[in-house]
Amino acid sequence: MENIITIIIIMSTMVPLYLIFAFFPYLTRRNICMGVSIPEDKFADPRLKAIKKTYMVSLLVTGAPVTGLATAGMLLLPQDLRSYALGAAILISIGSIFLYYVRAYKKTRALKQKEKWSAGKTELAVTETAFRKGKIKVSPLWFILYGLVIACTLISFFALYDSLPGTIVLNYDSLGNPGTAVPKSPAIILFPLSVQLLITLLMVFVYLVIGKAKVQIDAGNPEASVTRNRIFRYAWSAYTVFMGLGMVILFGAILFLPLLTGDSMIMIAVPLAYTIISVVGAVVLSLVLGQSGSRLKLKGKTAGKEINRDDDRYWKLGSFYYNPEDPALFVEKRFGIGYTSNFARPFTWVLMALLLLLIAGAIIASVFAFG
Amino acid sequence: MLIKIDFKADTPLYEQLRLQIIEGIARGLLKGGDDLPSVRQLAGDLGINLHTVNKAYGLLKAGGFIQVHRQKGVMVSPAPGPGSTKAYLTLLKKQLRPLAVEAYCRGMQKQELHSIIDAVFKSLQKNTEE
Repeated sequence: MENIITIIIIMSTMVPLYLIFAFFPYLTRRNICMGVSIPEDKFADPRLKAIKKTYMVSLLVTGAPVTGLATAGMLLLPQDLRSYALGAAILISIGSIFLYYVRAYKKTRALKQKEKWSAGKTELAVTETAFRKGKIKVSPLWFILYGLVIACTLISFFALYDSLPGTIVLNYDSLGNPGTAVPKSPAIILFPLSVQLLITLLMVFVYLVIGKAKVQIDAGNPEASVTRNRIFRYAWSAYTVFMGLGMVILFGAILFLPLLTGDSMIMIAVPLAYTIISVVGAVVLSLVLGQSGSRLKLKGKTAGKEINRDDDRYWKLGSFYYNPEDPALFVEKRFGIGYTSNFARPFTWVLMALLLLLIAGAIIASVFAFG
Repeated sequence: MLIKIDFKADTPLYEQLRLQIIEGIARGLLKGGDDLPSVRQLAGDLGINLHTVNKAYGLLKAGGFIQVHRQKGVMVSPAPGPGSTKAYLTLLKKQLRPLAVEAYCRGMQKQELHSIIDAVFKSLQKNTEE
């Protein structure tokens, strides 16, 4: 059983990590290749295809042994060293993926400079003034359900207080053995409650970003681009709202599971199953939609004369956006799915500091509370 | 409506923005009472300076094409729009003069110049009727 769980943990971290990064070059908009802007009709250029393929193959070739070593480490190392094996494997993976990416980015940039693809084309920045009037997000009223779940957790806790066991287990190790356990007290409710509130806060934030993020319309085929963008935002807002709701329910249910079943294995199985569902959901959405809906098959032809404005100089390494002239806070990622920040805006740094404080605060609070 | 900004064009960015919004109204893509994005939002979506959008909106507001409310935000002026005021006629004559002068100097016929303007009017009328 232990081995099966170890393998499931590896499968739900290392494998998606490598697979999703390996496929990223094929999920971007058709006017971006490895973080470099290109004319849309060059997306299928054989030389660019070769660069992307080399990147993908390098990743998969590295990923297989690293995943193998991580699995071996998890199975063979002493118990207290196992989580380090996974941590180290993830760090090595991220580092090597980054190096492969930079290599491919530089090759693409060099090719673009050599070929002068944008000569004779009009470079445009395009937006749709009524973009946000369309359906781009699920209703914010769904967040009322979050409030209801949190209220239910609170009410049930005090209603069922007497029937709850004398000690409450806050976490379990990978075998389903109780980890941190604390004597029952009314204050214990603060643990799931603060986690629930934190998740809610995070989901509201992501939801807002999906609405606020820069409306980037492809100059080559603007009408189709508007539709792609809207479908993409709608689908991801739905994913965010419902996956977040599931998490809030899960963290509330942790308190009451002992009342339903004595089997502590369920405490491991349920969160793990939920994680796998979330990961699979995100992977499926990414593969079907692509960044900004670029993989959706839509009608409408691409005009060859007009291309997107070349803003490569604002994209450091093709991935970090730094443009002091741009008031936008959130822009689409060039390599990957979703949004990133304009690092030239002071507010971005304020947000990052807040996020760090929140994480540090959560760690310190849990150390203080549960030693 | 779609707004397209050409960063390398000779026309300043604020002027491109202003002219496209006026054309959007002329073509019926923007109707009286339609909302427009806030200054911050439009500047962010196009990746241009706030002042640029501010300037375009300021000129459009002065021309009577849009209204800027503190709470309701920016919207297209309700029909019939600003109309051809006396001040506008003075400006139009001033702006048309050098164009007509150059056409004359190049030996163009009056009818040729008229037909260019006719064509523009025709394309706009076709759009608003549809």
